[in-house]
Amino acid sequence: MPSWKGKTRGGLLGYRIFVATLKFFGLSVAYFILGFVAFYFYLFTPQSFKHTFQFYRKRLGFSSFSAFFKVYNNYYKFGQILLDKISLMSGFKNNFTFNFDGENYLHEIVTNNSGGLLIGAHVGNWEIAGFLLKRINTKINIVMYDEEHQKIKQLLESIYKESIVNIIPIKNDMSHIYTISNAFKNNEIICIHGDRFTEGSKNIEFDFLGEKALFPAGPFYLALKFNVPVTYVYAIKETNRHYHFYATKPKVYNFKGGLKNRNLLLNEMMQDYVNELETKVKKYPEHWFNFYDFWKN
Amino acid sequence: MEKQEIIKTINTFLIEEFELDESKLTPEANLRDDLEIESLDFVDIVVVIEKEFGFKVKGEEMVNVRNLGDLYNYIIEKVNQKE
Repeated sequence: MPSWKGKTRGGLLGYRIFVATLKFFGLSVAYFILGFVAFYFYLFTPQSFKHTFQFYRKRLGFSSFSAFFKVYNNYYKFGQILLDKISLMSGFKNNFTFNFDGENYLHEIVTNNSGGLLIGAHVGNWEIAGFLLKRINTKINIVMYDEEHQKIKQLLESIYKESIVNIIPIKNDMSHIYTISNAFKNNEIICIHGDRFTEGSKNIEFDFLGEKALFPAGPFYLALKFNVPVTYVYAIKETNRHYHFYATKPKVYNFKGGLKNRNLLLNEMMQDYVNELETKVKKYPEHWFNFYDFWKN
Repeated sequence: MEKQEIIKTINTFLIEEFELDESKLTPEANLRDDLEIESLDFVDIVVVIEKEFGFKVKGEEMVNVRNLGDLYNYIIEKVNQKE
């Protein structure tokens, strides 16, 4: 079964060109160039095209004609979000607006002094949400795969003016678990994606958009293990200059130990997550950024 | 410390913490596939090892622990080194 391998596509030179464009010509010119780059990827990434096309055809029921356009729009929006992120974090001139549904929930988590887990998905881009999360009075940590972390770090650290979030890389020696544990003890927020199946980890199958798909249990087990409130979050680009952040009401699942109880609670919380994810994907179909075969078949 | 004593301590912890059936606790049992122990659970296992056997566990040493027999052998080796 295909799974995500921990690497994200994109070259150094491409990033450098776009950073220079953003710096000297602004976001609109960068979006214009992006139109051609997105078209290149549209033509020359057949595997990704196939999976994304099938997503629109089979999972969301678009006609073949519509699905062809949706794939292009999907690539273009993905590129826009990467550019927005660079623009925001590098302090380049921009005029983004944001609104935040559920901000009060995140303030509640901090006030309750318990630490909290934010589980997102590759729908929209919550690194952008890091900007909004600055309004939450605690340290924000994002857990991500080491390989991706290194790449992003090397490429972008030099141009980012401020560090909005702390990155916790996932390591083979499991040291990240202790870092996460300490973060919760310090009433910090941990953000992690809940939609990337990886081989060698516990995954649970759920009905998602009419077909069985595997979801990783690890991110959800974090909330149980450390008994912290969990909320599901999404940051969606609604127009060229506007982002909409969503956070669901935090929930503590009261794990008392034991495998049977753990598996029951994992199923319950993951079903909540999958339902929420399905709602968001249907509402924002062009913001689905899993460019591989997400479904079992 | 005797090998049987080490095995008994670990098994008792696994039975109490994870409500595992004792019959499942064989040296060949794969921690993840057979016993459903996840990487997060290693945090608790490490705490027990350090408390009961008096040595510090390094995360990278646990990477190759796949089945229960590996875990027993790892602890036995470390305890012997200490003695």
